[in-house]
Amino acid sequence: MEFLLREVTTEQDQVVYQDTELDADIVTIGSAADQLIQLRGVGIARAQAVIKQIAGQLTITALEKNTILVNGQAVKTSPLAVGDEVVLASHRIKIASPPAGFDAACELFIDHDLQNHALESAYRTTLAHTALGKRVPAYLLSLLMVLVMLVWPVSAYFLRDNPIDATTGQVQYDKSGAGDKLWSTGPLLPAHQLEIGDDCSACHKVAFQKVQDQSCIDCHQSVSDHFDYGDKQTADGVHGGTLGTLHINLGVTECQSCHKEHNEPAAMVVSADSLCVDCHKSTLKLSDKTLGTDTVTGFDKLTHPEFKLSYLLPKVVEKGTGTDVEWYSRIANPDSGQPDLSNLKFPHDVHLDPSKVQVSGADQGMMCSNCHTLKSDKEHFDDITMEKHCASCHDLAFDVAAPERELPHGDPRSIVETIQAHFVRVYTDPDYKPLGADRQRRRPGHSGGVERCDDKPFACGMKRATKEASIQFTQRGCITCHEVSDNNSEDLFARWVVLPVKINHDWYGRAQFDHASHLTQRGQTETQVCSSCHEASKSTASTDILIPNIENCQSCHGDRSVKNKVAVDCVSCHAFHPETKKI
Amino acid sequence: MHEPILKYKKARYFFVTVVMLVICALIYASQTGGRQPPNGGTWQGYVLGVLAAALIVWLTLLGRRKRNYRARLGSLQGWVSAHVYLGTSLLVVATLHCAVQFGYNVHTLAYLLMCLVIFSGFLGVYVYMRYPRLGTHNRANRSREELFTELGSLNDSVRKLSKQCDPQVQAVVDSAVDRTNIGGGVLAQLMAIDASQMLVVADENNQSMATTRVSNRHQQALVDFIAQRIPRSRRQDEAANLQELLTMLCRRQALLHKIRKDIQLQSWMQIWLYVHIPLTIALLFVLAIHIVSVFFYW
Repeated sequence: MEFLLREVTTEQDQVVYQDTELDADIVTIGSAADQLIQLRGVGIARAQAVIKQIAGQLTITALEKNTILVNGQAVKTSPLAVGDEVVLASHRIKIASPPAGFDAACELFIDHDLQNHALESAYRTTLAHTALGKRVPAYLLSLLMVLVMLVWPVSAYFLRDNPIDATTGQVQYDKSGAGDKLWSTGPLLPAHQLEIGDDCSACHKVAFQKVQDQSCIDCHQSVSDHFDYGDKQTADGVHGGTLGTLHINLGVTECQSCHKEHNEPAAMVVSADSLCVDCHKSTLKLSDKTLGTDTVTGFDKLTHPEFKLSYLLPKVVEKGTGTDVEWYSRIANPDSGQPDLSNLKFPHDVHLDPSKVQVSGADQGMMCSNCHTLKSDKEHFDDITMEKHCASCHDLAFDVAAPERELPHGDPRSIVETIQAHFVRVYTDPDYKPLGADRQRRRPGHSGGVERCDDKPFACGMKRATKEASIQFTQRGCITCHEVSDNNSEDLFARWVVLPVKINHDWYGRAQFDHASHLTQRGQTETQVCSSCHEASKSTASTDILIPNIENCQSCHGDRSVKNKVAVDCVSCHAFHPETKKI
Repeated sequence: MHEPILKYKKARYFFVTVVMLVICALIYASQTGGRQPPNGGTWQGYVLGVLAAALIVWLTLLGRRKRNYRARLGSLQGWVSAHVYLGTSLLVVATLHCAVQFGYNVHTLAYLLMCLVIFSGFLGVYVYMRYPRLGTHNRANRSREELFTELGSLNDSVRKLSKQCDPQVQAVVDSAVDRTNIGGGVLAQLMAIDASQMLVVADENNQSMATTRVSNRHQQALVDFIAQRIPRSRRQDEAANLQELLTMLCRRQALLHKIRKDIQLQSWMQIWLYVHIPLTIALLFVLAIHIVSVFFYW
């Protein structure tokens, strides 16, 4: 389009034309420097309008949200005819008839005062004129956040049910690509991380629902509760019988109450004393049948009750023609005077006195570890048996003439049988000769060095055996270490019952103790170290209680509020979920 | 007298903020010795989190408040003062809320965005405290509009005067005025980059055969061109004209420098908002997602 632009100015009352030929398809009008007709002033945008020929008709169109005044009327777009006048601020554009060779022409009346005054609008002088914006970046950034941080993770929740494709047999949703790991509030416990990884659904089953105990119990199936609730378990079975009503009454309603995941440093196990003290600051009693617990607020003289011993006590009961023993446990204070009744007679003082007892083959006294060997739990000790721990010194010979003959240990019936067999043979077998006793020939009617008998040899042997059995059970054999019950029956096999022995291995059943870490010995013998807590060398009888009391512990330990002591927490000694202990 | 926003009503909101932070610190401290290590999920964590979220929402409302000229609730100045202090305090409140537990997750992202918003706000406080005075000093108490009016009339005078000179001079001056650049893109405004150009005709100094476009940075090329012309002018009145033209061009040069400096100062007072506001909006979304996600996977 050939366009004639005629700027009309007045100089010294004379009208001056300044013509410009434009060869452009679109004549742009605005305040910016790149506009063909640059008009500046209030209300004139950087690109205000364009004039172009549409199907031969000259048309002016306002750009964007602008309007334009054509013949006094604000319009968006308008066809232009010769004589039409477009007004922008105080500038005027008048359409003129195009001279020959031009498609269109206009006369331009510029208000020069305004043009200079509004010079700034020719330039981009604020950031608002640049490509920078606030809304678009805000919306784009927000959209990105919603997509990455909300849509992606939520999609993992809805897709994770993960049906298996029937044809390929593959899971249809790969959890390793799930976005919900972006929601993790912190690292898992390393063991959980290894087992669960980024699979949030392992615990978070239902949206907007707290993690349920079942998620924990799925894996931790054998965790026992704080104590046996017995009939106090919830009837509805909500907690699977592992969390009792008492727990719930105390505000501990779920595993999560104490065990919070996603915390750094990983701290699933609560070690703070408040775990225990929150409830145990007052006396608690579960039922009339139980002892209850005293007030505990710490571990110091006044804040922790005396340790109670859990005794293992025998109860002799009638059983058929003889007796038997049933064992029961009893909790009692150390000052109750209750002796330890294990049915074993054992003086610790004699065995620890080197002048009386020495280890066979070595010229030294006994040490504790000769009999007491620590189990791998570092708290308890292996069982003590006659065969392993006593037999090396204490043989079970019963006939001085035949010292190599020993009684079997543990079965009264075979003891009687052994004695009978031995003496019947002694009296009846002419060739019998005790091992290494060839110096004496047996004379008829005599057993080796024993009183004579004029009866038949078998009867003599049995008579002698009956006498010896009585001696063994009641005077110097079994009775040395065991309690033997004698019902004076004619039947030798039913006459004596050796009461079974049970040594209490767990005097503090509700506490844990690490013997290994306490067995440090600098300049002390092992026996001295053990004796610093267990006064065995002064114990004359096995009924003595050799278990140290609370003062012994508190001479070194205290809770965190106690100065100059080795600090212990409640959980240093007590477990909230105790192992099931066997009596 | 203008009262600086930080000292509004004797720094009333500074003390409000300090009291609030002391309370927050006490709440945080009450977590130690509990069953869990301090974190956002304890009741203390929830309290601090609710406070931080409420602060963020309130701080965002400043954007609405400042457009609402009829609002009666406190002066805008008071709002801005509180905005600065309470906004800064968020750094502490949010850190106590999360108990310095960070990771690659939406929660830390919210914290990070919040920090970016706050630090961009610090830039805003700095420029608002310092640049208005620098600007006033630079403009010598005149308005931007007055500077441009003066530039307009100088442009007219320069063009008019150049018409009375050599046509070559007129062409160069015209092109220099036409191609004078003010402001421009983001960098040009922030760095006051002058991309002005002018056309130089082929003459004894310009070896090329045709008219070439050269940089007219700080109008120095034009001033040099006219200055060189003065000793070579053959007529007395031509020399006088050129002399007057040179004087005007130097005035114009100084004026353009002022205008550019003004644009630069003003752009720095605006640029931080282009970071502050989009990040704030994104922060609101991430904050909402943070809250939803925590309870979605409770």
